[in-house]
Amino acid sequence: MPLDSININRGKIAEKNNGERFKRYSYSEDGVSPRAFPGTPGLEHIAASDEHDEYGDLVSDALSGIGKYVEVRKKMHGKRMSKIESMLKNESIFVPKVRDENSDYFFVCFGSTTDQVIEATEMLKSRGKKFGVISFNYLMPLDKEKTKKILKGKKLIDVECNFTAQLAQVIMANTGIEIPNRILRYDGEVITSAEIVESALGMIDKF
Amino acid sequence: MSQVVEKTGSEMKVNYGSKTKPIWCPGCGDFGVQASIIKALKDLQIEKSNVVLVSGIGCSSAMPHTFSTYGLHSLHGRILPVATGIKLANNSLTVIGTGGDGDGYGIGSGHFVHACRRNVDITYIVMTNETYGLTTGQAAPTALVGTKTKSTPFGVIEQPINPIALAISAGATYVARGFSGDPVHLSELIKNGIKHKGFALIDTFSPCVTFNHTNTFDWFRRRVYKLEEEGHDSSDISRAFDKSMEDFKSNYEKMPIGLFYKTERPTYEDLDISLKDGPLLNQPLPGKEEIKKAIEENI
Repeated sequence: MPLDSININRGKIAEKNNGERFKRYSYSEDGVSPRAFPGTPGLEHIAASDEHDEYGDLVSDALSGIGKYVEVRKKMHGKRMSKIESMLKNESIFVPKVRDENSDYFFVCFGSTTDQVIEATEMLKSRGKKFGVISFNYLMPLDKEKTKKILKGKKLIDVECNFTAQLAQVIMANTGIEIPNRILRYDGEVITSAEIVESALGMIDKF
Repeated sequence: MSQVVEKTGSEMKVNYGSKTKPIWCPGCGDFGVQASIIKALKDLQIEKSNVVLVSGIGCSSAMPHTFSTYGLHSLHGRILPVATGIKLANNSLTVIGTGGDGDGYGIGSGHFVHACRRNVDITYIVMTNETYGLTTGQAAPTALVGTKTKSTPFGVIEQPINPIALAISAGATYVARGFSGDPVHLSELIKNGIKHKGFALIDTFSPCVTFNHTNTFDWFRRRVYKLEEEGHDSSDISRAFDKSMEDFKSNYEKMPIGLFYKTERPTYEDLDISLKDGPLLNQPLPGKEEIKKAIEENI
């Protein structure tokens, strides 16, 4: 990644608070509340791990089961989860990357397997077969609709280094698209491009 | 501890306490510890906004909620990695860990040993009650052999942890033990722990009045005595080890409190070159050209 393309965004930072008690977890549209750095006068607060209200005060233990606090818990959990919606709305990175859009077949893969898969497509090209690559960088959050559009109607081969085809299962769960053609290696060794080529050539007749 | 000015008398107007009601049972040892921390902060006149209390999970880990300073209520057993991170991000802060013996010596025991070695300038107050009170009374790693609890109906069959000996051997530079039943003495230990430059452990007997009917306030009162009244030399590591074994050797009949061991050596912050220009928080990020240069030079 070129260095110039990296931008540091520190997000919302709280300003002075006019003597009011600082609400570290204030409700907000996008689910993100302004934060404060310890050491800043006037913004003292508790960063809590248990479920809490807008101030960071706990709503667990003795307050469990009391209607008012049950509502707080529901609202605070909803607020946190709305960050995922905000991420999907504001960022375009939560979809798989497609390499060689106009190919006849596509390998589906993630992580360190991707390099060998790309190498395999180049070897297949020299044999006259057009293979592209659809590689996943993010699984959660995942833009389900866009991912579905990318995968739909394509001839797919799943390449993974595990027994149960975990990626194919996540894809199935999120998009409803099943990838029955799978190249799986699960002996703990790295999958090689030669192996992928050989297996893929044996599979293309099935489509 | 950096940048503290000790003042005498009650010049301090700051109220370190918060309006949040503690979750503790009436009579809990943790009230005495809370009062001792507040007294230590008042005596040292530390700015409220420069104090960060870090806790784990448990009754005693509710401590930061009863303060109006900065606080971080973290995960079970993770006080020390979180506190270390805060201190390294901004070493001008006064970072105090507050948690229980189950949290610190059980779940967090790996972190505990390495925090001692690292000698980061934080103060760690462990409220020892030999039980997991929040989950209604299972044996903690400090429970004595034979103690019957919900999780040990036939009595504990494992040896208890000796946090004092463990801390000294792992390299902690300030190792003390207090008693919630003597908050004046305890607050002095905490105060000196905060002032000490390096990792300070203050193990504190803080009885659980609800789930531990063995190690009660009275039980401790009959057993504790003060090291300073006996003229203990806290700079002598061999004497410190000897004293740390007294609980065991006396079959838990004589249990010393006070300062076991204190020594001076450079803190982690002193030795980490990335902090040589001051707290990380105040250091500007390098520009893209500087990053490029660093990558080219080093990779």
